[in-house]
Amino acid sequence: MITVRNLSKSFGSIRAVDGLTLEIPAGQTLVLQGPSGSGKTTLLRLVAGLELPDEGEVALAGSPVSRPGWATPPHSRGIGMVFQRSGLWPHMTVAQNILFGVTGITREQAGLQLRTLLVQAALEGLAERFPAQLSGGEARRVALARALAAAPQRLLLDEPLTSQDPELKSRLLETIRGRARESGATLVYVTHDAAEARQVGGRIVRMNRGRLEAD
Amino acid sequence: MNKGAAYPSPDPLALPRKAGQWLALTGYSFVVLGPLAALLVATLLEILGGHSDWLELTVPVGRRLVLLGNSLGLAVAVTGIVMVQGFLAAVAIWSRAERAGVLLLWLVLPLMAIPSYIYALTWLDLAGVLTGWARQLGLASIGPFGWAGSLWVEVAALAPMALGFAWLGLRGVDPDLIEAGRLVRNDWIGLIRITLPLSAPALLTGAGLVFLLSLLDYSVPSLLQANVYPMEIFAEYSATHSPGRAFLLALPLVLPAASVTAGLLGPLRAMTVRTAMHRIRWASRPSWPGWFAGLQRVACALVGAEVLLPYAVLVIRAGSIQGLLSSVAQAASEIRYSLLTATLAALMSLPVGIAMARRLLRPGAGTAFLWVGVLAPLAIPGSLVGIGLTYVANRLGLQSEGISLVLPSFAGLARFAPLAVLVLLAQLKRLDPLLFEAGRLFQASAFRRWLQIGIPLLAPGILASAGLVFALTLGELAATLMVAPPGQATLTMRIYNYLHYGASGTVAGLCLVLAACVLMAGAGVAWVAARWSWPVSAPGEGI
Repeated sequence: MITVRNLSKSFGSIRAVDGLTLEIPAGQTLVLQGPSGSGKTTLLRLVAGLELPDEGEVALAGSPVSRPGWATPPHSRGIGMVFQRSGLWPHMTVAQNILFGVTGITREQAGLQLRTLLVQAALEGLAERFPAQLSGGEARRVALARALAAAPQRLLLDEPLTSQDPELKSRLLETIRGRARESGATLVYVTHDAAEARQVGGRIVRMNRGRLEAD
Repeated sequence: MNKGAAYPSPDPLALPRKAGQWLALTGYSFVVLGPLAALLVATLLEILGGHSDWLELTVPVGRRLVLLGNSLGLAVAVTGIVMVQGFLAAVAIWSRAERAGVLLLWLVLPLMAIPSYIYALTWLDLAGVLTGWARQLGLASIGPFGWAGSLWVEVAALAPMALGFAWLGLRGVDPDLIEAGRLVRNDWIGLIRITLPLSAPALLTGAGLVFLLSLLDYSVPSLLQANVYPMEIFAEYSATHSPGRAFLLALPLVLPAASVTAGLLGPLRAMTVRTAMHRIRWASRPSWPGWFAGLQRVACALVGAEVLLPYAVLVIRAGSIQGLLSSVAQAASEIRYSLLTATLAALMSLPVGIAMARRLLRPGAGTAFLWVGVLAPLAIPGSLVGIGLTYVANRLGLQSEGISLVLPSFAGLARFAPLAVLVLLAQLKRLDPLLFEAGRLFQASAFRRWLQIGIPLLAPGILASAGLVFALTLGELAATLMVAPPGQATLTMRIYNYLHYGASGTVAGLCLVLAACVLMAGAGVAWVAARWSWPVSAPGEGI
């Protein structure tokens, strides 16, 4: 479960998140929509522990993880995330990027996991390429595969399917939903596309000026 | 075909391409590579004339082999220690990103342009005080002499540079990449597998430059009574006045220096591409293993002591403000001459540097060769640059008073123009070509484009490179000693001459004056560098 209570975050004079309260039960999906600058990305970063709140609290599975001036490290939160920019490590191959966060399994299991993800994300034959050798769409899919690889308990996806053609989008959405279902992950999905939002399923909320506007 | 549309990279000066190329190649070749080429010619003439025992000079045996080994060993040790120490201290500051830490960093960074022999002087002085105390306690005297002393002083002198490059490397890593790693692995793994590899170009560049500066320096070892190979070059030329013999004798030193310089090519090219400076916002401060956090604290304490203690000594030695003013009055002509020399070198470095940086932007068969030409002067000992310049001046009959007065400026230019080229190239590369293409669409006049778009966008690079050349020329000694005309001396020459008579209030005062001048220029460079990262994201992006 992801719980956000009275959360606020400002950057200078811009109030990116403004007293927001939200609860997403474990294993459920929340789709966030809203115009540019409405605070969607900041909300995801606050949940991931990449920003400190100015006010309020974030709790995961009932335990507080962020308060003003205090936050648990991001890697201890069981979160997989696709960033607005792909953020692939340029010195690692596609395979190395995907498997970076995978620990505690054998080499064979990791290999199997990699092959499955490469197929599911339509990245066959690209495992040994470096990010600079990928198209924008391929890079987004690598970022998605990386977020899914460690089977996290919480998935925060910031417009993960931009630059994908419609057919591939449906296939990838199915992969995301399937993976989340298998691992019982809570999914927060940011998109501008209303049709995509409906396809993702789950609860759809709209953000504007740092607040939840409509459910 | 439209020439402008085919232009692959920013062209802020919009000069006719051939004219720019000509300016780059001839200006740079004549001023920067000229002394080296002249030395090569002189050497060949001597060999062909049968006047030189070239094989004996080129192959070091016996004492010279030992000296070469000592010089290489010292440079390797200095590089290893100073880079590890600099990286640890930089990580400590970076992972806190507190205002005090950053402020301290900007205070330390300009010190990288302070000549190393000033550090030698202050540590000698400090050792004298400690020896006095030791004697009172009946202990043996403490002196920073010989190899250990040279190692300590060179580490101290080069600590700001190592810290600067390590900091540049860490700040050059995109925070998104660090944050992506923090989500899935702990900070130590993230540092080793993400941040360290991505900051490698800056770290390797710093290590290479530290190695070269340590290998080619003789001022510190000579003051601390350790014999190194570069001193032999100076001694050989002083004894024989033969540029060819000096060059041949220098070859065993130049070869490893050239190898390191060639190795710098890759990291430097990567660095000039990734010059954006990022500030990471740590929601939760990185947590390091206990031993690593302990090492960071030790490194910070060492850098602090190495860098700041000498200045405390200088201030105490200089005595009062009156004493300082008296030192300034005594050396007024040297101060004037030094400022004139450094200003001239900085001004001359701009057209040459801009033209060469602009040429390096264009891909082509000759670009790799040009890179070698740009980096080559970094592998040449300063004394050899001075010998080459003297040879050129003598052969061309440039011995009039006016020309000999500006020879120290040319010495500074020949030694430090490569650094100006690198700074300007980095600035050119980080500018969006679209800005210049838009300028071509909306402004027909090349001169107005140059004035309204090129110069303002290039201004940080221009100021930074000019400040760098100014500061480094101000402290330059090895080449200046060779080319300064009779009756004229720079501030560094005066200090160096005084140093052999031991530390005094006058020398301390002059060192403070030199340090203040360098610090002002260095602070200017640091201030400009801090403003290199302009906001590029659209309003609202990432919120």
